[in-house]
Amino acid sequence: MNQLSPLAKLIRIVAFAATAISMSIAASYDIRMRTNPNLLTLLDLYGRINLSVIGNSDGHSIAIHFVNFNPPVHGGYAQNIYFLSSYVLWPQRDYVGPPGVVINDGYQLLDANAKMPDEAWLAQHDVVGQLFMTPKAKLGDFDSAWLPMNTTSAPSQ
Amino acid sequence: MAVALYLCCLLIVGYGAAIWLTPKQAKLLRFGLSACLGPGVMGMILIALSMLGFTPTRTSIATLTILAAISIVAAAWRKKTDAPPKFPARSRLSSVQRWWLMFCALLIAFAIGMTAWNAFIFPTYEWDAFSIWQLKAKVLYLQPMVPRPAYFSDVTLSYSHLRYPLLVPMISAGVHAMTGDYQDESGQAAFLLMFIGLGATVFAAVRERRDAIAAATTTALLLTIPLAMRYAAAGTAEMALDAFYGCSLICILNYQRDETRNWLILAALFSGFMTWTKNEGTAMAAINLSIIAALIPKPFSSRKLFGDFAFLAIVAAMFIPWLIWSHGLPRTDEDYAGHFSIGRIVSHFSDIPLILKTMGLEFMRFRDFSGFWIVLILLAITNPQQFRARPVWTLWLALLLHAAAYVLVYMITPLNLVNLMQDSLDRLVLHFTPAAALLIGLHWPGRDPNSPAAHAILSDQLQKNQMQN
Repeated sequence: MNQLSPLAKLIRIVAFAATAISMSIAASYDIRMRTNPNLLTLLDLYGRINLSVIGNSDGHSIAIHFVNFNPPVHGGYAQNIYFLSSYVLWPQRDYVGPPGVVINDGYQLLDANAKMPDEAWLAQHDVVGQLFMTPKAKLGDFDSAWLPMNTTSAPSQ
Repeated sequence: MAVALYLCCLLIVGYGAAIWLTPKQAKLLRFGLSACLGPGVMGMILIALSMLGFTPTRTSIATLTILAAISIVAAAWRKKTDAPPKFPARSRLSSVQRWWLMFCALLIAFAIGMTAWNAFIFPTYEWDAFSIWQLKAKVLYLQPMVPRPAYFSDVTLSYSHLRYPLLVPMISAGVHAMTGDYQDESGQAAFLLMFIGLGATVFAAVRERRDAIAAATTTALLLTIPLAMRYAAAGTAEMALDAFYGCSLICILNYQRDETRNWLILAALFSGFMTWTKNEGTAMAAINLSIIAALIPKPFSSRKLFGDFAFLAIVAAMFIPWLIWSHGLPRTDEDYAGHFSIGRIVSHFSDIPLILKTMGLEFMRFRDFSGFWIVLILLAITNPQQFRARPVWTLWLALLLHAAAYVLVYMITPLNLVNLMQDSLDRLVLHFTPAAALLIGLHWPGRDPNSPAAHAILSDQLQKNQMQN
């Protein structure tokens, strides 16, 4: 430190100050991110999706129907449900449309969902029931109803 | 417990390779490289086994670990003395400097603690993690790569990027193999080791060239980047790519300094891992090759040509199997290769200002990077004499080429540019941070101990000491 010129000392002090501020802000951002109510809500929502999907599937595949999902409003939300349920169910499947239809986003997903294969096809693919999901007024929340295969009754809430 | 055991296995496998390729005295550097090399080596061997029809199992992981342990014992028996690393002379620290070191140490501990929280306590909640990387980890845990599982041609799962490289999923599949449970949400834990490894490697690399203050500050700045802490153990490929890239750059800098082929082999291994980590990794490996070809060690010598060829051969040997295996996979999600043409680039020149502006704003986004980039810019402007040092301009060149590659990718994207940048730019800028962190360390005010001037001062001091004795 003693060998440094006054200018170098000044630079070092400024660099120290900028670094200290930067690192402190970084740490506070991380703490705020982890305690952010949005993240906790998201985790809660993911937990509920997991429960709906795994709880009903019982080690088999399922089909998901997105009822009253409006693509511009709920597209991203529907895709999150599909992507997450695909992950939690694997190697079992969550069928959302006919085979061979490309699904990259919520629009394609909801488009495919309108052309869901018939029950005979689903039964051939180890599907034990169909999950009907309906968005609530509060974006990010949903109602779900489960209809086991080979039943004619209304879906159970 | 099984996860902790897997992390130990990864470290042993990495150490078993690093012990042959790194100098004995550079203990921290060796540890850091081992922590990043281990997941890479383990993942690549599990991929090779998967291509032969075997899924990852505890037996295969244990066998690899035992082989690595034998390698460590064998290396310990060899009677070879390495040249001591060129650490700068230690100077007495003032009380302010000691407090600063403590502050940095606390922040590093905080960053590691938060990442461990993500790794062991949080479920897989990052969109990319469950949609792409950890889904593939389950696929690879349950089925070998040959015969190719139906997953890879099922376009209803196109969103999960069926053609994405498989090293990160295979590292996570190793966790499932150890726990015996693919539903345990622990696939992300392996990347905590790489986070620590990257920190240790950067610290050691800067410490070899600057004082402890510069090394600790650089490491703390790098590890506390908010995005780095968020993604480090989230189960995505960001941490792996950052760690492999950071290690490859450090090995290139050491090769530039020492001209020892072992560094070149390590740089090539890390670059090979990058090609199996993300598509961006292939571009970054190509940038590494062009830097080695253009700058290192000296132009127009047969030794240099051999080095260039060796690097290329190792990376190609690792990358070609991926090209063969992935041939014919659906390109239904994004098809950059199909859109790469001079005509398309020229027709999208008008996008460059928007891309650069958005990129610049991302650099300055405190929520994502805090003041990391501001510190680098401040140091570079106020300390321009460091630009004369070869490592410094080598890293700046790497950074600029890297940024240029991403600008090019955004120019040819078939997707909506604004939406794509919104979704991906933060993570792409995160990939720049290992090079930038090294630059912060090297721009830190003070003398470069490896410069001729510093060597002259040190030899003067040495002569004086000898005369006094």
